[in-house]
Amino acid sequence: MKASTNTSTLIRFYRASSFTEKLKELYDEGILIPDFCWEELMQRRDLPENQKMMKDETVFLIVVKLSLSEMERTVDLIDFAYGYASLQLDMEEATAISMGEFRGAEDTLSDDYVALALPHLTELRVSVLSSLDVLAKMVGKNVLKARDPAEFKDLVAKFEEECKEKFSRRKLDKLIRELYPTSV
Amino acid sequence: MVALKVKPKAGAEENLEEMRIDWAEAEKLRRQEADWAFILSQPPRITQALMEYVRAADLLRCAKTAGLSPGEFDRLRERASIMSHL
Repeated sequence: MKASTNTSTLIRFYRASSFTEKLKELYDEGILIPDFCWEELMQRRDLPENQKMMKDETVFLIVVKLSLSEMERTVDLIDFAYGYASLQLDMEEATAISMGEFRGAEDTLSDDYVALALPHLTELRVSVLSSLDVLAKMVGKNVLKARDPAEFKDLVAKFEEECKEKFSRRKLDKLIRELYPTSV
Repeated sequence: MVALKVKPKAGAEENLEEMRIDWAEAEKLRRQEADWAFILSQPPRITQALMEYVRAADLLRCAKTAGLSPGEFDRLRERASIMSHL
């Protein structure tokens, strides 16, 4: 399975080092990154997570240059987000989505709220997943083991601790209901 | 007004309303938890970027505002105790 990303989710999964290998296992065909997003990210090559990412470049992280069709779709998505919902979809997020659509990715990974909103507003050919969604997907695909809601919550807490982040409790509860429909 | 090439899906209006409620709740939590003393003690450009992060939790955009790489800004966000709650 392949994904694309604007790098925000990648930063979290590489800071949360217990989960980095699981990300590689889930997306075994690699993760596509727009070249300008990679350049922005690598302004500081000395950061520990960036060092790890550089080691994974080409083998797992695939830096790609946008095609003209992808660029057109990017602009259309930005125009839609603003024209329809007055939301500012940034170039990084829109590019990751259009690149994912054109290159056969199943998911676009982004922790940007506008990118995450987009599939609720229009039809896309990719799913847009946050870090929390990716954790749930890992459990659904047996890449991570969490037998019940309590174990899933523990797993999320560990991820939050490692990447110094907190996710929406409402979203967490919703994912738990989807993952364990008979236990809640 | 120019017609949009991308069209809304069924239920988009209702979805947007629900999401706006979630975003407002997340922003409220970020405001409550943020270390304002730290945020306001930073150089103006950094303060502005952190305040922008409190409002929208957009890592890449705020990193640009701060003139930092996304990874550097993520650490600054952590020091300012701003969790996205998204």
